[in-house]
Amino acid sequence: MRTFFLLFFLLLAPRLFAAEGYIDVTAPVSGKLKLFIAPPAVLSGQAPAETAKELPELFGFDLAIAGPFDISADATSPLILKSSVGVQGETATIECRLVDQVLNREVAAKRYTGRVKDLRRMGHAFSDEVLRALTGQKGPFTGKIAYVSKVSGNKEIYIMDYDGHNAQRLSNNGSINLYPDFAPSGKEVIYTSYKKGNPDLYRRELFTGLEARVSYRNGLNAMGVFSPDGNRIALVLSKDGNSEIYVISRDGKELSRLTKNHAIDVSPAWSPDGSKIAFVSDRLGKPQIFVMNSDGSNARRLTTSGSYNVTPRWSPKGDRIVYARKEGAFQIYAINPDGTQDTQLTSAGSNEHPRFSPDGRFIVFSSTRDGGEGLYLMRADGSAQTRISPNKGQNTHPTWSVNW
Amino acid sequence: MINALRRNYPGPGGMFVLSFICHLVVFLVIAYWHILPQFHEDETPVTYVDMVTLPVASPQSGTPAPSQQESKAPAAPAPAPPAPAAPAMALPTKPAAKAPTAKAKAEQQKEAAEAKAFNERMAKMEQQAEDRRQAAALDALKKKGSSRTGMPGGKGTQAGSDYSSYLQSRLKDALKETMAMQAKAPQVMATITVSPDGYIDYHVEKPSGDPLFDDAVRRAVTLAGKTLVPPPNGAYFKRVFRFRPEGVGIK
Amino acid sequence: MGMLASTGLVVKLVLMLLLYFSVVSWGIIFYKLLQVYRANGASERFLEFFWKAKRFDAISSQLDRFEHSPLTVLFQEGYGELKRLQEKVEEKADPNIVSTDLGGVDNIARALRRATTSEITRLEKYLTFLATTGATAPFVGLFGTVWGIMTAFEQIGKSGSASLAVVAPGIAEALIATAIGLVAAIPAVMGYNHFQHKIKVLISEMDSFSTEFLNIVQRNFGR
Repeated sequence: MRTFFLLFFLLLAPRLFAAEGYIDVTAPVSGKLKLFIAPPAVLSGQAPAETAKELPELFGFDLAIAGPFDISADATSPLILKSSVGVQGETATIECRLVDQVLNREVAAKRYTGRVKDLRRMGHAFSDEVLRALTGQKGPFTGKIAYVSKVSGNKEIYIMDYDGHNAQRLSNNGSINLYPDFAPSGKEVIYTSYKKGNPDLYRRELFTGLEARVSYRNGLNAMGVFSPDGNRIALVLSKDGNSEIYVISRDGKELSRLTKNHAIDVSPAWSPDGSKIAFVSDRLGKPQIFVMNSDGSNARRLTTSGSYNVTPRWSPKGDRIVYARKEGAFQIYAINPDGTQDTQLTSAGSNEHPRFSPDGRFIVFSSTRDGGEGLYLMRADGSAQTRISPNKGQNTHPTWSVNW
Repeated sequence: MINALRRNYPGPGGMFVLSFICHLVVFLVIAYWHILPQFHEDETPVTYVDMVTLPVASPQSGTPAPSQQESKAPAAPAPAPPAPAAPAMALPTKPAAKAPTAKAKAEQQKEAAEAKAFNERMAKMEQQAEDRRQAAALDALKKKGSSRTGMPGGKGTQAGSDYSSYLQSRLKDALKETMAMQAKAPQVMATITVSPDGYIDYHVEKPSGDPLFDDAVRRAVTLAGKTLVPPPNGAYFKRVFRFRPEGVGIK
Repeated sequence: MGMLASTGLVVKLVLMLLLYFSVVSWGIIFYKLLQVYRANGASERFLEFFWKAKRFDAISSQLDRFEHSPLTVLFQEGYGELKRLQEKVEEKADPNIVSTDLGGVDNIARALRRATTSEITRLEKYLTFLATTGATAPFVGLFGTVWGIMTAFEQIGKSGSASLAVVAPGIAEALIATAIGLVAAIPAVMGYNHFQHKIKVLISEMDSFSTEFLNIVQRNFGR
């Protein structure tokens, strides 16, 4: 019995089986970097009280939705964002710094000067800068979101900041306006309007307000999307009877037809390198998502599950395609371009019209989860779903521009 | 008469031996494959919490550690290149950390001029006393820790193992504070050196490619290095550490 | 195995005790498995042989082949008693008087019952240990756990930190005692129930064999 006890103790000797070599240091994946947003200081002149509140809220919203940060009230957090505001007449100046209190260095420091009403844009610009300094990739927060809203009674094109502020009406014609899409430069919008009776495709310069009727062939001229180089537009025409996908140049000429069959083919979406186009077709009976080369060859089916899959959009990196699937209500899914890893991203309400932000970090979409159609934002993995527009007035078809 | 009918059945002794062997096998399997849940393999966290709150853990005067760290800070330029965007303008980077260092330097010079020799001698004596106190406290703590964990003193080759698990727990705590990542399974391999005066230095062997996580590791090492008990016996400590988020990235 | 190494002395003793329980009860389980299955097999073969054989003395000479069967003990006892009775009858040397045979059958029945009891005792030997282990090992483990948690809390109080990282390992270490208690108890209870059932079957086999044996004796020897 004694030997047996001895053996037992011997086996209990720790580290007998411990691995040699390196030592593991781990932390929970849920860990986030604490970031403290200091209340803004007054730079010179006087700073209105509302900016003192608005700016930290703006930074908090931007950086919380970005993902890796935990907005903390603890002034000893590793990161601290300091800002100071000065307003003189119509001119506002903000000075922002992101200080790393652990490594004892400034990560980013910027001064912005502009009109008082552009204060929010300056704030977003610094949020972009913070992401660039910390992750190597600029944020999308100064980009605009164009969308369709019925708040005036008709479906008109609107444009707003990514966080829902500063909504502006773009079209004002009292008819139906649909399917906005930004040019890769972010300075032009194409959309389909019924203002001359027929659904025609228009291109509009945002800064000048100049507009051109790009495509006005018989029947539908809809769902236009710019190619990644901005020189071509893929769109849906029904001039030959049923809806097919065509590519035209940005001024509306040089037509080429990509799909040719008796089924309905709609919703073209360019891959980021411009070599492929994803689209929706019911050639097999139900609407499914297909991928073809941008010259129309080699069409193959992408989605294999679900009986009603529509509105594909390619991620800017080209590694994912988001789309909406109807299972009673619409839900947003993401899939790899080779058809693997089909993942559901939303589950509450009916969610449609997904679209990636230009940096690929976020997906903007419309949803009825709070009653009425509103615009929402989530990270590309489906987390942090946040409403960004009022849910009154049927806000749909969001599209996110690059920074300008 | 009855005894004549009794038969010679075998007793259960042989089966006890068999059973014991079975238990032994099961135990070895469990031990070898680490089936039991593990908590910070070699350390009892309670022990090291004690260690951190020891008075000797405060950075000693006369060690180059803090001044070296401070003088390093302004050398690292704040990355704020002027943006091409119209309303944006780069600020002149302020040497935030320079002022206190300069002050400290000036003070030192003054002192040196006044009573250099005396101060030096005093500092030396103080440091020696401090070192002794520290070593004694560390030894005592190690004894306490080892008796509490039930380790019979450890093997001769594992003299630094207590210190490496101490450092591991400090780094773990620090990484928990600074954790941030973007990639799915980032992993950083770094060689960490602690000099006899408690100054921590590290060299990344293999970066993760995720700037957020690389920075998190850098912050964690800096954070852990702020209040570090020097390695025992005045030796240099050098080990390779692997930093990664919990539960992912194990190939 | 750092987890086990850092537990306190009392918990360690509890673990020792549970390990002892486990080793012994598994030993008994192995032993009983062997015993019961040997007994079953031998009994089957013996019964087959018994019904084929024509003569008791032929059976008696072959008993070594079925030494693990409790029925052979019964047969040996019964046959021994029968032989003694016959010797007595021959001593009286009066082939015409056969009036004592009723008392003789009673004698044989008693001998058979005695053999049955002793065989039951042999089969049930050590089984009580299994019952004891099954009943007490969880409690012993629980005791270890409670004690471990007590000391863990004491140490937490000393260190002054109550973060989960400090509290959890101590409690987890303590819980291992309960786990091992259950690991020891479960096979013991299962084994105990299993063998109880098997032994019940053997007992009823012995009873029916006794009855058969008495019937044969009465048919052939007691006119």
